[in-house]
Amino acid sequence: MKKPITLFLVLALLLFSTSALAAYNDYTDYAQFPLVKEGDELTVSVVTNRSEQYGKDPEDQWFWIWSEYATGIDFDVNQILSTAMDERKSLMFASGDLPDLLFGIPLSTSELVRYGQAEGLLLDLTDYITPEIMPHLCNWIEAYPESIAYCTTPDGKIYTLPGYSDFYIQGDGFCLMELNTEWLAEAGLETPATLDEFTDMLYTFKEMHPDIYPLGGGAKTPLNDPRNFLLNAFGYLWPELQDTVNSIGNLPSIRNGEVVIPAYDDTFVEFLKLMNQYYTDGLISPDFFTTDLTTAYSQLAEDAVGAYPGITYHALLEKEEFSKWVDISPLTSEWNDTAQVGTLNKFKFGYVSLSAAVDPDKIETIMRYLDYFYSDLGGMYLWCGPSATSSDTLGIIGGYMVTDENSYVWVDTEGNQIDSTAFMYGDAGNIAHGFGNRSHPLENKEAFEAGVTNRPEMRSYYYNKDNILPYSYDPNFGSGAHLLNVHKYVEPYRAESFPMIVYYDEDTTLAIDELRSILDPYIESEVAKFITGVRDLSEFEKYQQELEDMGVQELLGYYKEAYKNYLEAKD
Amino acid sequence: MEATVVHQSKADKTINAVNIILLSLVLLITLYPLYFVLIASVSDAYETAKGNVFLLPKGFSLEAYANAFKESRIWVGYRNTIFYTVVGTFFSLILTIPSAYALSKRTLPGRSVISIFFLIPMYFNGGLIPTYLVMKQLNMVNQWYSLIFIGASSVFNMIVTRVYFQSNIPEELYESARIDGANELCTFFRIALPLVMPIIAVMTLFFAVQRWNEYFNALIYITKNNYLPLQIVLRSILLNSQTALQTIDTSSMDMEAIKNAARLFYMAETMKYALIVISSAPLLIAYPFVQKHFVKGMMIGAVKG
Amino acid sequence: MFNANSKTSRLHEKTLARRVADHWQIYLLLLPAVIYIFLFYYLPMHGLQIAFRDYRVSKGVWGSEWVGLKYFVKFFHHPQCWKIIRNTIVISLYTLATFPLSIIAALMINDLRSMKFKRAVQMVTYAPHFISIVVVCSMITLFMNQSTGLINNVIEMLGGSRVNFLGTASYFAHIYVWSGVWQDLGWSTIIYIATLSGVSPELHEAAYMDGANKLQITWHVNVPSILPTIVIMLIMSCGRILTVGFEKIYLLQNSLNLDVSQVISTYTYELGLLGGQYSYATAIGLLNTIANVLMLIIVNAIAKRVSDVALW
Repeated sequence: MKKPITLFLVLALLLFSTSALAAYNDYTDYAQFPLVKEGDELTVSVVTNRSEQYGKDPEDQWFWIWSEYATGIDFDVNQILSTAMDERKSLMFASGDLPDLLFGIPLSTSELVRYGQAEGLLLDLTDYITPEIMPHLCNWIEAYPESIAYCTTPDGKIYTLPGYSDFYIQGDGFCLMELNTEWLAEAGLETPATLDEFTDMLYTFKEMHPDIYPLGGGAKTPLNDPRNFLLNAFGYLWPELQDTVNSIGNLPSIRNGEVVIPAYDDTFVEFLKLMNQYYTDGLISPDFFTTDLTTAYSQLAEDAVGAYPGITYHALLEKEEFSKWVDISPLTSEWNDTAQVGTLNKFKFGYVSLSAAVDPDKIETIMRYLDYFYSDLGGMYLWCGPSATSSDTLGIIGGYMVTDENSYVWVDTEGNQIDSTAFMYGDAGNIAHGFGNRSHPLENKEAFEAGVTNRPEMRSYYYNKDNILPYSYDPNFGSGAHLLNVHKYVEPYRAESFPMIVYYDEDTTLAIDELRSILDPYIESEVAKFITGVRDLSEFEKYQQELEDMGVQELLGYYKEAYKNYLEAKD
Repeated sequence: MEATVVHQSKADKTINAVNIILLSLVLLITLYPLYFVLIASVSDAYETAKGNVFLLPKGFSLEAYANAFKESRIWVGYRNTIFYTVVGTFFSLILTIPSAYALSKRTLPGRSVISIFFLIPMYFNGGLIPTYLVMKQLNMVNQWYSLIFIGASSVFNMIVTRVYFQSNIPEELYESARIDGANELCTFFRIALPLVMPIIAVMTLFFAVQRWNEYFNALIYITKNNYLPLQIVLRSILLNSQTALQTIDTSSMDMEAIKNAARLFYMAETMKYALIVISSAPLLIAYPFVQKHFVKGMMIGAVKG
Repeated sequence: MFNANSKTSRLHEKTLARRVADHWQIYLLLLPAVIYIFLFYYLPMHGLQIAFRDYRVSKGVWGSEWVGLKYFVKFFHHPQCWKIIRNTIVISLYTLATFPLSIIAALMINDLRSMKFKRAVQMVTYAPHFISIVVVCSMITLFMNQSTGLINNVIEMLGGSRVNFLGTASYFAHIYVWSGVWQDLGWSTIIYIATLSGVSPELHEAAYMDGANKLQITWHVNVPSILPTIVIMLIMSCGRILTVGFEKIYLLQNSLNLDVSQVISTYTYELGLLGGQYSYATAIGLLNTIANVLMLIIVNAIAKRVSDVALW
């Protein structure tokens, strides 16, 4: 880091130490800091991601300034733009050009197997996850034991650190469908509970408004593709992971207790028949396959949609607009008796790793540093930075404040409000948002006794422990309304499905990747053809045969094996 | 070329007319999408998406431009790109013009061999990873001069230039130069170069535009924010708007922040067009001035020819 | 080409060494390019061998296991491989077929008598080249949209019924190629116009005197003057017969046109940079290159025989 920053820090500290002492709510429980003794030097090279919108240079980010100040480590930070992530990550591993610490570079299960287990490019962290070196993490693992299992590769080693996101009410998901309650009332209908009722409702909407297409969304916006929601109605259950959607039915799912690949399953033809009917009768737009998010939102904004498969308040920002949209519970149908939807994954992993080539003398120090983020306060720093009453603002930022109306604002050093997201993703540690303690307090006894039960309340505690404001969702805000809706209509129907995180060994990973690279595009194009009628539905069996020739049975075999292992491990 | 002949046959007049009509059509068809980019950059995003923008902007607003220029990164991007373009083009010309001249000499021993030496890499590329590793060893990665050297050569341009030398400089000229006692280097600089001004102008333009639009090499070889060229900055500004709503944990954000993110996304469409104007405007504005030299160069070529 | 037993009289024959020494200044002019190409292109070329190895980062290029033609064979076992190759060839041949358009356009522009109009046409036709491919594809999607697209609006106005351009696989190649013409036509005329400007006006005048009309002048004076350029451009285009750039395809792909829009470059990109299968991706790239080079050699040989102009 540059000298001017250090100088500035010293000055800032001197300037603020007096005033800070006066309002000093000292929650800096980092007893293990600093990690580098006076006079010693330790440099750790880091590669981290940089948000396109909120990214700041590391010299200006509170997170790295504070990290250096607290630990004494000299961080040499390089950033990768999130849009260049895939290419640069690949390049980094392929050329073996890795930094000491990968912070916020997301690695999937197959990448962990490939780069960690097979190539040996990542450091095995198992020996360092001990109460002496990482007390907070060990504590945290006791509360979430599955988390470490999710980080363990088939060779029994651990190449990454876990995370768990437990805000208060979980309300997101990809199998959402929201209804225009105004139109529903106009049509005199009740909220549909079965697939037939849903279809009838769409036809009624079409009669009411013949020039529009009642079911919104499109194929080029995976998170807003109505096929996800509809596929559920046929009895297919799959876990909702971070970035995977099952709009073409190619992900392993459970149906009636069996592992299936929906696109290959016999009942899938009924789904295709339904979609074909929707397409031919104008219930979905003829441009369905080229509709992107902006087009979908524009239709939503001009009230040209009766049912929308996504989060409407992202497009409708005013209360009058979004409050008429309500989420709908999963449907039952002729082929499915139980209304259910796959579990939402809250466990994260793969965001923090170390290179296997790191200098052995540095490892323990780095691990101790990372351990801090499993403490209650450390997790808070990752998420939203320090509160305005903490000395850790270091005089370069204002921190967050809790107003009397129980809303949170982030301020700069003069007390002016700043963009909260800009702060959280630019200055706080959310660059590694799948890492660390993001749940309610685990260790802070005081907080417990003060009645803190969830993460937002903990935020309030760190601001002013004498006045913890209970957190609730405000239906006047789009986000609040939406979460309350999902909590009411969707959460009760979560059911166990195909395991969320599965590790396959190296050869199987390669085999699966290859099979999927052949099958996925084929399924995508054939499903589109069936839906638009380019290919007749009577050819469904022929299509199944084609998939078999491409190896779908083999792929299914791997999934069945994984599921079997998963069930056995549970017992 | 202004024709100096006064009278024209009827056939010629018809041909001229057809020529003008066809080219006018081409002009209009080419022009409309360009015009569309301009008006879309100041129109309301949803109106554009719905296809309501045709001849005039709808919902006029300069917000996309304001948003883009708010970012100080843009100015750094401009500065870097101008630097890379000017110095890089000059370097590319050094690589290309002399070699093209050399290869145009039919008497050069090993001419075929050298031609093949240059041609092979155009097709047989070692691949991204080995190239990256070599660049790293040559200290070309993440430096202020990286983008000047990387991607500087174009064998295609070299060949085209070589052909131009061959067709436009007759052997007799070299003969008479030799008789006058000029050596090869002297011939090149004093006699050959002035005669090929048009192609040099063309090559300057080619290299400059290629440098100006450079994206992929910067993506791979540059991570320091201070060295990023304009295209990367623009693309990143655009992409951040497009993904504004997807990369954040909205359940923990307040309404204000969500509104900001949503507005950003909403503006992404318009931003796309605004960014094109921002990134191409300098080139398009500079072009008429370059074209003057073009024409001048062409005149010189014509007179001498 | 240097030939030791040339037809020149033995008395005037020089040894190779002597000839090389004579040309030392020319070699000097070549030096910058040779050094550059050697450093930046030949040094990394050893990386091509990963097509024949099982590349493992930890073992490096030389240490990875030799597997010979394994990945080449693998590609031909891919169920879609012939479709991918066919798609690539169709698109690139179609693009090649539009090659004459820029020549014709250049001749037409060159013949314009009004400087103002000429400059206007040039300026407008060059501009699309500067527009990024992302925006071009955006506009294509917007204009060809079935429900709200401009082109369909015009069709409906003229009494026809709306067409799903983007959702019909058979339109894909047309959309791809003609939008490419829109974007690059003007730009590709630059080379020809620059060459045409070198044609002396005296030749034109002489032809007029002889009573030739415009078409005849074009055919007998202008075209021959740019013929070398045309031949070279044609040879080089043929040498890219299996090269279809991936970015534009990627942007225009959707579920309904995958059958015709999957090309070699999109496939290798997904495999290599995104999927980490470098050996496989390199092998496919190498196959692609070999096909291109064979084509190049053949066409170059033909050109040498038919005209005086060739790449080497």
